[in-house]
Amino acid sequence: MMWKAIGKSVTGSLHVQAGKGCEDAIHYSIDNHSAALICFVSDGAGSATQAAIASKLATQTAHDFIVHQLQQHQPVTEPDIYQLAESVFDALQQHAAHSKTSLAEYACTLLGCIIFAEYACFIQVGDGAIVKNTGNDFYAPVWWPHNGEYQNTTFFINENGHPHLKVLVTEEVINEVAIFTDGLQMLTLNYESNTAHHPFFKDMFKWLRIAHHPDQVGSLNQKLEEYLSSATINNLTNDDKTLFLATRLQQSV
Amino acid sequence: MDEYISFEQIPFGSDDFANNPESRCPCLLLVDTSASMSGLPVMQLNEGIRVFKEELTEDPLAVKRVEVAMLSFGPLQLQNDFTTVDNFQVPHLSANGDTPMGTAITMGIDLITKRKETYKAHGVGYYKPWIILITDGTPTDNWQHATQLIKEGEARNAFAFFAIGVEGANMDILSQISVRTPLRLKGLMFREFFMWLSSSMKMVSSKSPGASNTLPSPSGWSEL
Repeated sequence: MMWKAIGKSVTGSLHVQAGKGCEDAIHYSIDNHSAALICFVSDGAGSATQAAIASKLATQTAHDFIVHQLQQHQPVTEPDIYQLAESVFDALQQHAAHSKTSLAEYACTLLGCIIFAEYACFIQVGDGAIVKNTGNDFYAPVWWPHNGEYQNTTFFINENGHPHLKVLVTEEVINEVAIFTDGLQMLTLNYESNTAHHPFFKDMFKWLRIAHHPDQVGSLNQKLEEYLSSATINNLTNDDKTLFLATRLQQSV
Repeated sequence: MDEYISFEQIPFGSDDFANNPESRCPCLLLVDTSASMSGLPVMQLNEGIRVFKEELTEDPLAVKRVEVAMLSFGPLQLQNDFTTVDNFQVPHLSANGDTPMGTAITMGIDLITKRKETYKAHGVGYYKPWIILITDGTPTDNWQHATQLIKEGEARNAFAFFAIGVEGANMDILSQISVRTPLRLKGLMFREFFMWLSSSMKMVSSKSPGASNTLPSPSGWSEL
């Protein structure tokens, strides 16, 4: 059983106006040996001068940490995920020290999943969300993005001791997952009922499920980028946005 | 409270949350319109508020996010309940009566609390509310209760309260009421003050999480 995955980070219209590049980042792959799906997404804080570097470094470091772990043929456990958060923190701290910049300028969120056939691991610091198909075509966020009371407050991976780190290792079988940054929360989540907005995910996954050739997945990935940059989306949010979607290749039994 | 509703001004139609899911940034103006504000001060104040609306309307993001409400107190009157800038009616304030500052603050805090409930009910996010008090006098009612509410609110991070004293204001009482140091307006620089307020509101409302709070300096309109 393998995975079909698409994912893009796109610069928001506000950042385009301000001449800033994309401060969201995404890094994903499918591990050949274990068939695990690995994805990390990060949103660099708008106020942090090194936001773009931070988010790229965070996703890259987290991804490499897991790949390295899988090369050792080790299962991924809860302590490993905490270790992963540490190594991301260390990487940011090192970069800050090297550039003689304050670590505060490296504020970014981190969301990620490592999904195996029999179990799955999730990590989240800050806003955005990971949404999973609960097995009956019902989508649910693993954690509700908790910002505190105000819209402009959230938590970041560069906070020492990770007081707001959320980690989950579950034996639930996950066949479909989406990860997105806060730029898309207004479209993907229903804040009145604290649930995922189903039509959004159903419409997207429908196409990914029927794509059965790498070329088709590739063109969906292209379409995803176009969609995220479209006026439809830009009228609703001017923030950078990242969306990752993955569905397991169901083999007919 | 004696509330007069002008039917020309009600925003009749579906409520604004249905077609504007943006997070809201509430700003409450508590303006002193007691008799001592007569003449030039109240004229300049009106002009300042007009500029405030104009400045915010030109910003495509602020116009969707900043919500303004205004209470005037000579006789206490709700000039505008919370509404996005485009629906904000610039009132024509005139000056008379005494200075029921305590009652105005208490009612204002209540408006903020209710507005947060409305945001939650509609599932829209919001930013920390600002309360701006502008006065040129001394409260003529009980202001100790209001002071207590401000202290508690600031401690709970429920809002940010700013006091601006115009010539003649009792700065000593203002510094007891406000947790933050009250600022004194230079002359009648209402226009400059409201320009500063609109740029501050633009900054606050465009913030994504984690953004720092470096606001523009008030040096253009305040006496240090």
